[in-house]
Amino acid sequence: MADEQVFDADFLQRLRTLFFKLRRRRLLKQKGVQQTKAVGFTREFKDYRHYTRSDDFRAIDWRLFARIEKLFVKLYEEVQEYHIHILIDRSVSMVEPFPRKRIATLRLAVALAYLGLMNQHRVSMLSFSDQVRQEVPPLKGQGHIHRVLQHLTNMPFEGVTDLGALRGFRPKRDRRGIVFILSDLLGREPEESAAALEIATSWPAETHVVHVLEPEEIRPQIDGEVRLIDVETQEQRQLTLTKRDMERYQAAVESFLEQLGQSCMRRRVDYVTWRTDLAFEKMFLELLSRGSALSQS
Amino acid sequence: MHFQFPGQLAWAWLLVPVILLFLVRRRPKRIKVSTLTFFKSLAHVYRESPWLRRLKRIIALLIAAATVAFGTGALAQLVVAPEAGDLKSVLVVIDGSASMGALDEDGASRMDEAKERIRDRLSGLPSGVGVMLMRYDGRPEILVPHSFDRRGLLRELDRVGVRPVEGDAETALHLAARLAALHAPAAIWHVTDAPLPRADGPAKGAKDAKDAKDAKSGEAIDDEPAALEDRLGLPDGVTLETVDVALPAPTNVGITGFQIRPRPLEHGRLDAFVQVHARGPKTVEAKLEVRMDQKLVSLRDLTIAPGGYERLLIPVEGRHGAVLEIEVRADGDILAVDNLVQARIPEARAVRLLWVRDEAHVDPYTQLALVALVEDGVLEAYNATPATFAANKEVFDVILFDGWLPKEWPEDVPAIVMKPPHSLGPVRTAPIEGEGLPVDALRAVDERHPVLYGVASDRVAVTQTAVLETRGSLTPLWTGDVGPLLVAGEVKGQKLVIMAFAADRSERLGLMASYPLLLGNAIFWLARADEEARQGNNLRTGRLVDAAGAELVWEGPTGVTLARRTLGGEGTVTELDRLGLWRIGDVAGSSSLLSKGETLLGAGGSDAAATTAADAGGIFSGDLRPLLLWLVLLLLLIEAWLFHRHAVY
Repeated sequence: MADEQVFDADFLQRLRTLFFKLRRRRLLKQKGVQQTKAVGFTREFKDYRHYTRSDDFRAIDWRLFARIEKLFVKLYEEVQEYHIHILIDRSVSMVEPFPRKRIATLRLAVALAYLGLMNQHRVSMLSFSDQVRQEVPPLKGQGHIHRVLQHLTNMPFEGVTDLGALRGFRPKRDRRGIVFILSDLLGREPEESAAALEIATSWPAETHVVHVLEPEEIRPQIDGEVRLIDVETQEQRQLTLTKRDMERYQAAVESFLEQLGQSCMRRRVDYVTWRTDLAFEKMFLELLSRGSALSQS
Repeated sequence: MHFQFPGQLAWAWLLVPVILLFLVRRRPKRIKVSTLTFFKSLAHVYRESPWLRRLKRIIALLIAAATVAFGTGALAQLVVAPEAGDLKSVLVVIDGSASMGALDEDGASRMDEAKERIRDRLSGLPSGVGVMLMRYDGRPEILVPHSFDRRGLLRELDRVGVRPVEGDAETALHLAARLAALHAPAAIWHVTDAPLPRADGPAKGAKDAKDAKDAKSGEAIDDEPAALEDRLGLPDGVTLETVDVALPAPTNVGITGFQIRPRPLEHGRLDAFVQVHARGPKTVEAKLEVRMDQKLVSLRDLTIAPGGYERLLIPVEGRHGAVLEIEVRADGDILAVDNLVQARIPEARAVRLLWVRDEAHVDPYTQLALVALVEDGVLEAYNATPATFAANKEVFDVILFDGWLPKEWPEDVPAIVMKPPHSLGPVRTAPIEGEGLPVDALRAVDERHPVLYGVASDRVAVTQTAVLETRGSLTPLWTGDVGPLLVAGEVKGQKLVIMAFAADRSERLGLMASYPLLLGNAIFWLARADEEARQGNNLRTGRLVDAAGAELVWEGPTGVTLARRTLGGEGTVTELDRLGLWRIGDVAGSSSLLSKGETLLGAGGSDAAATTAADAGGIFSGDLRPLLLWLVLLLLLIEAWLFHRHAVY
């Protein structure tokens, strides 16, 4: 797939515009680039407070004591660094029969990586199908975005979806992490997806499941006698389908999505359905507005 | 089996795409999907194995092919009618005689059965075959000429009824053969309870169904080859098929003969002659009731063997005009119209004869013969001379002109002319001069004529006094060397017997018994119409009676009027088609069936069963269009159920 189709100039321009909007919104809300309430030991002054006995006396601002004869200590900003893990489903079902799913997934991954790199977070790109694979080592600094772009552009989509492979992903505890799982979650059985996401509760990270779906997968336009081919397993099934069958199919898919949403909610995992036919910016802003730490950093 | 519209068979080409679609089948559309997970959940109910799919494809092919085939057959109007062959027309001849009114155990008449059989057979007849309908009893009647309107024929068929008249199948079939020959190749379906015998046995030459039914009843039939077609003179291309609707073992008893006649040597006294026939599987026990003016006067028990008869002579004691009823009853009798005879008691009187002759030349032999008849009480003879004849105002049954003729010929009375002196009216003669011409060897032209009954013509020698000229329907009975000398017949409705010889001058005639016989035969033959009136006009049904300008009234025994028929422009005669008492003006009489042929009902045997089996034919005979259309509908339903029952939204 050509680069222009995934990360064309128009997309990158729209991505920059999107982040300028995000930055302005953030600056209007708070002063400083750090949004956390915690205080740390950086050189960036944050505030004063009264001295208490437990405080280090070296932190007393003697100049201020000289003016008002009261003991105050200086507070400094604590700069937090997140490790953003972006897990991309690289199974065949992400590219066939609907290539828009791959494009939407890669664009979302790039946007998240761009956001992370711009905010001086560490970004890891991983992929999974039947096993988890490190696509890009942890990167920091916005200069690495081109590397990310180059790697994702050439990343092959192959194999079958096995959400059980997520058990092989273990984010380290040294840094606070944010995990984004970008997948269509189409495993062998519908129940398998919800069970596989159970592993997310053990991760020391904030987890977001982005369920990438093509509208055709929710409401397929199939009628009559057809031979269906599973793009991952190449299993074939000849069926005679009717409108009533399609209504039953749609009900089953919607039930599956509902089940997934409730399962994630019970596990405090953010779950969002990413429909490829909707505007990217709208969907991305909605994703960030769901309370992710990334959007507040 | 053939098709009414073979051109419609072109629709069978639709089988080609059906077969091509089967051979070069359209593969199902291949669609790639992200996962089969949700489709599997749908398909678990009707997931098909490959062999089941192949079987269903074959079934679908067969259903489609059968649908096309049946539809094509329906459009082409497939007809399976083995009996139809290459027929162009069918003439249905239905027996409407009295015996067709015989009822079976369910109360259905033979006519009902006949109509049902005809409907069944017609339903199996291709619509392109023309149909005709004829009914007959005493006379044939064409109800539907050649037509393709089956419904019209069925409507006419529904209107066909039974009349209490003796049937004449042979006459009807003769006419039917001629009618069918106009539309040959044709078949005649003779639907009757009394099939004509196929063998040329004793029934050969029979003129009515009576003899035919005798043969049917097994009384007389031999094993000679079938000759029915020859007897009927069936033309080429015309076949006769008999549909026997007779009951297998009918029981019937009926009056087959009836006459009221003077009791010999007892002037003014009457006897009723009654003949009763019976048909049944065993001996029939019957009761005969005689009623006079509805009062029982006599009761007889009769035991009659199957096919046998009983003859009775019952004295009749009743006033002139009283109603005599004779009724016969038996258990299990299935035909009622032959059980009752009604008659009015006639006035007892002899034949009235006026003998007109010159007193100077009285023929003693003629006088002797008349005296003998008068003494028997059967004749009243009155004498007249040429001088007194003109003044005579009385009404006589017969006038005998002996050697004399009036100036004006009387046209309203039957007459015997002996030794005509000259021609007058219908009498055309050339007198022979002198003593006449002796004729030793007579030639009897028609020995079976009633006038010559019992007369030894070959032993008679006469002296011919004139040569007669035969005119109109006058028939020469005796012929001499120079021409006819005895003629009889009818001219302008007047019956005549002309004798051109002299008994007193004949060598061997006057003293022979042949002369009184000849004279008596002539008198009573001329007076026969009046004879019937003297006996009460007890006629058989189907007889024509003269009713010019009058009204035919049917009456009950008490004199109540049952029906009227006014003859307008229909002619001067009418048919007696009812049983009972009738009256036309001053003339009264009665009509009865009196038919041995109708009373001795035919018994349907194996022939009937075979005909029934052939008639049945099953649902796969006849016009198969409705059946094929139903099959097409059934196939479509089966196809919808097999392959589309889950697609009903």
